[in-house]
Amino acid sequence: MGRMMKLRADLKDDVLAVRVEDERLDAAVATPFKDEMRRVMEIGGRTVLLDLGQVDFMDSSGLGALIAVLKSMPGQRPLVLTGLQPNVKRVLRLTRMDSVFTIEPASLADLQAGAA
Amino acid sequence: MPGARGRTIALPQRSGVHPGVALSQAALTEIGPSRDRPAAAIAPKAMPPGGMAVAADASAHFCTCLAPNPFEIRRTLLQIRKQFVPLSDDDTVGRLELVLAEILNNIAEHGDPLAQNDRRAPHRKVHLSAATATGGIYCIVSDVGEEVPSHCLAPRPLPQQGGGAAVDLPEGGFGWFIIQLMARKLFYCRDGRRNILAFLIPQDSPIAAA
Repeated sequence: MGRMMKLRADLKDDVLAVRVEDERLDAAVATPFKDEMRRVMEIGGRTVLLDLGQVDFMDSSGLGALIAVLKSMPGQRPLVLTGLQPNVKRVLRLTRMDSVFTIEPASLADLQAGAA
Repeated sequence: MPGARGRTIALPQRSGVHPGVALSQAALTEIGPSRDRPAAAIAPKAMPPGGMAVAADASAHFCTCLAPNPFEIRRTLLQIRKQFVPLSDDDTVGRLELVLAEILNNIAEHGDPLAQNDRRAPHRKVHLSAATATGGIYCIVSDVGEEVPSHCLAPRPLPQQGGGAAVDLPEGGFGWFIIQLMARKLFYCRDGRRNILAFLIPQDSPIAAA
């Protein structure tokens, strides 16, 4: 196996922005994604802003990994998803997980630029 | 299946019909309310000796064999996207990709473990055909392995989300729910040791992307 999951993390104030640098969140990377998220969240910050702007495909294994990350968040650390592409949005909506996750419609770049 | 190096889907043969498409209509079990039959729309040409993804012609035919492991599944889905996007639309291809991912992931997880190593067990590979036709993209997926349990094919609700607390959220159990929601004319039949699933991804979906 041995597939890596590329995540890029930037801590600014109390927001840890984590960008998934892979075009797919699928069964091939579900476990590495969970492991890597656990590792980068140790960097610090309070809110975790997970940027899925590069992810153009997610299956139910990828969804399961996202749910596992959400479940592993300490009580005081919100997880916010951003940059959702249509194929990712669809899976969240079909499974009604769009009502479980906090979804930020603005892109990470807009948020970091302080756009209102 | 003479001359096919074990790659052709092992279906009941009928004269004048290519063995790879000789789906016995009577043997098919339709899942869901539709009474239409999809198989006539699927006419994949003979698989090439290499057995890998090759467009039969300029229309959208796709035929391949793959070992059911996550990496070959990913590679196959990328090939399918590349082939069908110019001939369909992003939304339909997105739904095709999702349903195929769920079916293939199920095979990888619950199917014959020997099939995952394609060098040792080439005859156990998964066969996949997809073709555009009126109404959308028709697909057949066939694998060697245990019979699909009937509860997978029965109409199913979403996995319970628990009492609202994150800790109770289900992390799995969405696969067949998604397949049944997105695929139309879903048929299943068992042929010897093979499972055969046929379905349509409709062009006009009531469930669009965002």
